Amino acid sequence: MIRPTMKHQVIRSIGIFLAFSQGLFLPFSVHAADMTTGAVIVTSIPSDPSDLSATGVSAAGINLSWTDNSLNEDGFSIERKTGSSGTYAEIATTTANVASFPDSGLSAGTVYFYKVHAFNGNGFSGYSNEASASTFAAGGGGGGGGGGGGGGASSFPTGVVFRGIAYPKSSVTLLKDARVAAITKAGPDAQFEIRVSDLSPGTYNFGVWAEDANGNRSLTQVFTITLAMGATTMVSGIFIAPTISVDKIETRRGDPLTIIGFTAPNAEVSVSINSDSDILKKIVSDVVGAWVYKFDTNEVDYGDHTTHALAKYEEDISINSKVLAFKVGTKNVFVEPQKKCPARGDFNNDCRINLIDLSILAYWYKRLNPAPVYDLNGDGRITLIDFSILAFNWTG
Amino acid sequence: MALSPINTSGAASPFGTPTVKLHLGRLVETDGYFAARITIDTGKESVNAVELRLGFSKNDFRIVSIQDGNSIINGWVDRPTIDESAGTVSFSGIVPGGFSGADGLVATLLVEPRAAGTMPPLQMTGGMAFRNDGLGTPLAVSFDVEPWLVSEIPTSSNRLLTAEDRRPPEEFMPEIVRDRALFDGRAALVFMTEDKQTGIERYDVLEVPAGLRHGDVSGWHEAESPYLLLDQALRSDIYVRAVDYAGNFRIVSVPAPSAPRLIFDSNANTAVALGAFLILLGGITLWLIRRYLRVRS
Repeated sequence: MIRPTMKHQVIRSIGIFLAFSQGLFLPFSVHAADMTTGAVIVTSIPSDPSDLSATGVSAAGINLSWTDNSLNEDGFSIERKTGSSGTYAEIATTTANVASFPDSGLSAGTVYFYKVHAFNGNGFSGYSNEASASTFAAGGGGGGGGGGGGGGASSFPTGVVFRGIAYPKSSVTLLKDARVAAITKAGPDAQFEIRVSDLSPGTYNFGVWAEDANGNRSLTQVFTITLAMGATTMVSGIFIAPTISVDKIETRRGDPLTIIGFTAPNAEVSVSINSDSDILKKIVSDVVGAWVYKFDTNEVDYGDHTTHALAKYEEDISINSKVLAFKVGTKNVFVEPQKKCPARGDFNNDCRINLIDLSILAYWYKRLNPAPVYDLNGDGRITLIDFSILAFNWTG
Repeated sequence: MALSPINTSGAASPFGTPTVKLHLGRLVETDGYFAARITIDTGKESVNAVELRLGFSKNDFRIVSIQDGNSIINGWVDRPTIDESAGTVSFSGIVPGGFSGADGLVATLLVEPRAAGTMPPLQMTGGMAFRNDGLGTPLAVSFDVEPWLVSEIPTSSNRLLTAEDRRPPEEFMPEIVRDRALFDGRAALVFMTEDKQTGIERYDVLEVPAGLRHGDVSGWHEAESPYLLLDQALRSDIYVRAVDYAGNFRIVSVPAPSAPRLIFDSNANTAVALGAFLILLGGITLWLIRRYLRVRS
């Protein structure tokens, strides 16, 4: 479906939105692994302005100037507060490619603080540095020279922003080409945002995963994105898959199997039991995102089954969680207390699966008689299958 | 006239559907070279490991290089290799977290035709892909290639497909690892980076012994990760140079973890400081001896 608008056109394809800004062609593409239900929006917001400076020029005026780092802004929004304890409010907007603003009508001898951000039809950039200046004293000369802290590159930076929902107060990790690029913490509402800037234009594999309050990790959601030079690409609408765990490997038929996990707060969780006929149960997570479902094992026959979950939060639907296997039999076999470190592949026991573990596996690749610990699928040799298992468990 | 891709080998795996499609695109001439893209279409699957082996007619063209710029592959298990005498190319690699999409660039072949005309298609002699499911479930692989037509052999002697690549490889940070799983616990270096244009051609490593500087030694040698360090005492500064196919490079360094840097640094100022320190030490020693002798007498 193609829905042209005045500013840009949005193309929806297999649950993925791509946006192309008019005037500046942004040839990005995105693919998300396991994206069966989730809708991710990819847009291009302006790059952050930088080098904001403020200079008092009279008893009632302060001049602002900044560096325009964006090729695709519609304008800039200027915010001001009075004194360091004041509250910022927008005082003006400019049109595109404007990098200065004379603020007037101010009180004499007063310190004002400013920050600026760019906007377009897709949203706002991040803020510039903060700058402050003082107007001249009434009847006096001289005046407060301002100045901005920080500052950015004068060229047009290339960057990417990821926004979405994880679990309340969870740790969210962003991988860039398999290495950790940033870690952030989701808010109490499970919302997160991660920015990476000063990248080279080109194609990247970005991966996002989260860790819940019990130390369980989500699946990694991967986005293959081609970043255009001088533009900040925004990937929003990410909904991290719920975490999931079960209390028993084998459950005596008739006893309940407890399935638990985390997702967004007050989200609708659909728990699937995959048996001869699939069973779907719906529950709601609590305010901290925790969900629990006690499955009545009388509903399935003796034998091996699997379970997984997905969540719906407002209009967003997550991708599927990991798939867990369990057995309905004649006795209860509880899951061993969870190990803090990840699953198979953490060869150096640092609780991460990354380049070091890949190097260790590569060292044993094609060698005779590798130790069983490196033979992840237990077939007696190190093959590409073992690397596939390592890649699935990768944490960066 | 539209040319249809040639399916040079059907599903290469006996594991049935779904099939992962590997595709070799048409030859595109750029600055005297011809390039063809190998792409992957995973259908609805998420794939995290791929292997491909191709055979080609060495009489009709030469494969100059296999470039991984902008590849979806983030870790090579077997780096792309050309065996000119056997007429084969091969590689295998992984995508941590998996890739799902219809046009994922795996690698780019740089080709030098020996004569104009229609090139015989490359044949897949082996191909594997594995589902990103934590089990390494194999998926069937098919391979097709678009016809390669060369109307004229370029006469340009200055063949520079890489002329537009002026950016060095991406930033990276090698790590020193001492783990019993690697080289029997000896110190090793692990490293990996990407280049967003032409791709990484090779890595070089230089170990600079204590007391010398980067420019004082010329011992760069090509290396692969994991790399067994020569200086197991870890008193050398280590430099890793990632070089792309256009010759751009990035050098990163790992300071010697256990070097007594003040004493052994050959910097001129440090040498002066060291000399002054030794003179002072000698003076104090002399003074203590004289004082001892005086007290004794």
